[in-house]
Amino acid sequence: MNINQEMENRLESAGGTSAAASTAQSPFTTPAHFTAARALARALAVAQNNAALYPATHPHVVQSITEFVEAATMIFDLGLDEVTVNVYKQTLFIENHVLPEESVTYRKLICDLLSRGISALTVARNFSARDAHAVATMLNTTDVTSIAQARALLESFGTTSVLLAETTDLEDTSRAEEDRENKAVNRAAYDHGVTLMRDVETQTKLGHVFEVEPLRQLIGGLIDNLFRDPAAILGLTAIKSHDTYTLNHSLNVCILSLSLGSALGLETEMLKSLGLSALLYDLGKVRIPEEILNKEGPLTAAEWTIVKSHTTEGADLLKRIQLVDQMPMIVAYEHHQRQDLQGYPQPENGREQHLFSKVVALCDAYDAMTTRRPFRREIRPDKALAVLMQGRDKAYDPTVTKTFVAMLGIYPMGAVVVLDDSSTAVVFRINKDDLLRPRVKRIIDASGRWLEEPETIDLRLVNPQTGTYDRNIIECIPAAEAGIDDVWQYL
Amino acid sequence: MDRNDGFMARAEDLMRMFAIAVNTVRLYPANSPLRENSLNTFTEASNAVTRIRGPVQYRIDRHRFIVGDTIIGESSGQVSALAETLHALQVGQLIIAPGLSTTEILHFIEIIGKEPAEMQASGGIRSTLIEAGIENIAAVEVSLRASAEEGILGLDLTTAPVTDIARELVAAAEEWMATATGNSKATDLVATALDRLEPAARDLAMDRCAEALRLLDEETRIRVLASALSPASDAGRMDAMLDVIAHMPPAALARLLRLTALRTDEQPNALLETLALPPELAKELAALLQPAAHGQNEYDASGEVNPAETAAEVTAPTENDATHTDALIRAATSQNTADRGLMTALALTHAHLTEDSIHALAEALEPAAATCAFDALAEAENLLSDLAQEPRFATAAHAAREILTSQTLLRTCINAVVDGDHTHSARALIDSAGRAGTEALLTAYLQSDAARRDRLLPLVSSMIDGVATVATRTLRSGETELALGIVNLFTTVNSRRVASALAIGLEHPDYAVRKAAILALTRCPDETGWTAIKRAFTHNDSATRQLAVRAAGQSGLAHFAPDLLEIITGKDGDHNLKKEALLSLESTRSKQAIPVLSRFASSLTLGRRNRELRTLARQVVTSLQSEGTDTQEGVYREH
Repeated sequence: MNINQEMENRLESAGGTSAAASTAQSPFTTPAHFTAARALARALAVAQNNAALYPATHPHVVQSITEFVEAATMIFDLGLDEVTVNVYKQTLFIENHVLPEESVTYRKLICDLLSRGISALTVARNFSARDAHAVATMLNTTDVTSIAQARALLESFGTTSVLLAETTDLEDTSRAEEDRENKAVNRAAYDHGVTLMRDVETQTKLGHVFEVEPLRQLIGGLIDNLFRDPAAILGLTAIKSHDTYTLNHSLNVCILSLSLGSALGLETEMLKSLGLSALLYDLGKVRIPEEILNKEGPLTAAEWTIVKSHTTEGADLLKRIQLVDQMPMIVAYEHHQRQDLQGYPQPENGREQHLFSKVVALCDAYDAMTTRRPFRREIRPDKALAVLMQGRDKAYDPTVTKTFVAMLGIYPMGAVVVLDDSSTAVVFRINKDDLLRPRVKRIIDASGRWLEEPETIDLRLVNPQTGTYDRNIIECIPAAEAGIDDVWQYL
Repeated sequence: MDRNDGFMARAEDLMRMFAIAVNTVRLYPANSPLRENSLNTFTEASNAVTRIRGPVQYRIDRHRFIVGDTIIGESSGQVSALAETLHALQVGQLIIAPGLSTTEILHFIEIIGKEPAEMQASGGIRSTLIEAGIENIAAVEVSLRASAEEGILGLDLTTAPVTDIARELVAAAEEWMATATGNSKATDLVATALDRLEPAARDLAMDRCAEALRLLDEETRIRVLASALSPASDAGRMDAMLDVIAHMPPAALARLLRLTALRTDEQPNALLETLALPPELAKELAALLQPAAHGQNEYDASGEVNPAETAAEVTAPTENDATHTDALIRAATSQNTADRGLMTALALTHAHLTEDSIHALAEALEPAAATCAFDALAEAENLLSDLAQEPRFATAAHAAREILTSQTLLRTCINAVVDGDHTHSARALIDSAGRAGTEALLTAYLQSDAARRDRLLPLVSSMIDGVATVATRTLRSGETELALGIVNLFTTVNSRRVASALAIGLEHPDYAVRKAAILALTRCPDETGWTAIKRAFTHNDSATRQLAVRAAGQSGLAHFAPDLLEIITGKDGDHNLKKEALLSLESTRSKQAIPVLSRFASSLTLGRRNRELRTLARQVVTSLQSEGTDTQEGVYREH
């Protein structure tokens, strides 16, 4: 029985990578909440311990059971209807929040849970002393060796507020298959998007009006996929192409914008409009000579003036579709105006940028920074995010920037990191509860040997013996520097 | 590594098309278009896939094909039949390479149509294909997969485990180094192994060798490259190994070149030149080896990264963040962005003044109008009104301005005026809408309660000329209630500019309107109003005439005296009117009337009514002659 995949899924869904859910903060990120989580873990372990040492009526047992119930109640009072104690790879979590110290201190609790095939124990509202007593008894009864027996024992106590979870190989397989399918579907949508954008570019260059409907369908599909598997969609932005930079950049900005819009809480209709705007915001560049756009070295004042005109040129092109949606025209016009309104074109009456323009400006900067160009080296993703943070209140809206960074994580998906064992890994999923400790796929070992099968590591996991984290990130490096061409394949 | 990304589906499609092509060629005559179609379809699809992915390798397992670990085409009868055919010819693998031509396929189909025994007799399918000049389809026979030879020569590079290939590549590099330093010809085992393969399989083998290199540790990989670069006694290098290395993915290759260059104390670009690469790839590698300026200068990314600090900051959103986000979202609704759309369209019109941009501006007006973006609308109206003067743009500008005269927009503007929102812009829009604006304003005014009327009055007053113009029809023949409302409005405005309009009220069929109009006119200190009243003296309705005469008196204006005297002394037989005129005349206190009236009073007459008139006239004369007498004390009575 493989509980790992199930745990990964559960930890992920509890706060993991969902862009759609990222507006909801992890329930234990504040100090008060975290204290409550630790108190619950401690109360559970102490209740189990005392129940093993003393008879049920002993004051120690009674007191520890009472404290267990109180600890659970304290969490319910924080607004949760239920709380889950998770065990994943010998590490204790409350919901998706890792408890490094407790993972070492309460080894016995972890072992007793795992030996019964239990990877999660959920207590719900109405959790009573009887339920607490049942849990402690279940963990101390040596005859209980499987989750089925554990459930039966709880049932014999009349417990209804405690749930136990495990997983099966079947679920594991189906999940992996589903992930593969999603990945293929998303990639197909992405490639289709590139084709559509090429067509838009061609039509525009020829002075023809392009069709909006296929673009809207594309965005509808991306939004559906975003809701189904946000991480897979976001991972597509790791696709970089040097041949078709403009087209890929449009797609990447569109996906980043949709994800950020979703994280900000925009409704589907607004997301559709945002997506279309993000896809087309730089269309004006078709009217800028390529030799200026791709010029290596600094631009002259005259060239810079021409480059800047891409905003009005873009809006001018997109005014033709304003009966369908006005936002692409607006975003094309505003996306370089900046938060401090020191950008271009000069804003009318000091009016601040539209939210969509703020979102697109941010996503544009991030994707551009993290993509290598003939005339500019890429900036590694963590540094790019730091640049955006530094640019708050100047170029970018502070709140939107914070949401963006919280969504992508300090080490975003696709970032290449060197671990403290000198191996190289690609960030595979971020952990919402701990942005500094994502899940990574190790692909190159310390000696520089590429692994035949990448190894997934959750950097939140602690060493049961030392209580310290198993692995740490030493630094983030550009993918090309590590010799990695296509990080998307690892996501 | 997961490299699927839809490739399996494409590989399966390709095989299906191949099977169809094989069957079609077999079933149809040479001149059949079906044959040509199926061959072309397969050729195009094949080259489309291989151009991107390189050679596609199919393994044959009796009645099915396998790509990677995936079985394909098992459910298709045609594909299964092709697999069986190839299996019978002892084909273990089929490799399709880029650049395939329809001629090659035709030859291939011919060859696989042979009997297995015949094929064996002619040396097997592999040699038959080579003899036929087929370069881009390779068939690897099952018997070739096992070899008695040692080292890399004993491996089938297209199927052997990459770990084995990696090991043998290292050995081959070592062999090169060992022999390169001697006097005899250096041994390039990789070249020998690759030469044994048909061209279609060679690319695939090199890809697999390149993949195998990545399984080596970095130190060994560097050593392999350094060895391959070591010149032999004839100055040659281990070209086949260099070709294999050139098949590595660009970034991995660039890293290897960089690290090797450090080791051998050379420039990475010098090493790059030793590799035979397609120009595009060479360019990309050159860029990777000598990257352009760092982007961080452009983005002012000079600051240090403090991940922990950033993480703490972004995971603890403040209440302000939530409020700010809510405000941004509220402001982002389409309801709230129409004015932004219009402002953008305006800016574009300023930037590129064309008919097209005016049309776009017109399109932006509607949503802005629907969402009461008065300020932007007013600005657009200003611009359009200027453009309407320019012959080039007049038509487009007029058409756009039409949108600004919609009753819906005007009503919302009027409501805005009432509510005190964007008053200046809303007033400007109503004003600039001309007759439509005035009509909307008048209608709204008439339909409003007293409080709203008070708020609208300043605007109505400022537009009173227009209002008076549009009110004429109602005053002449409109609904009584509306007409009375207009008269009341005009009375409130109390402007001499409404007198003409009020005069039209005298034509209204309803006496109530006429009455109101006459009373209002008496309050107009203006020649136009007086003239209207005088005209009413001869109105065909006696009550109206009487009212007008009475109103003239009520005005107390001597100006009416001659007309009143004319009524009194005239031959018209309206006795009551004459009486009313006498009373009004008294009210005018006109001394000039005394002589004429005295003559009338003393004139001889017959009949009771005439006598009554003269008696009344005498009384009026007496009244007018008396000093200090005012209307209150006279014979004039309030009606």
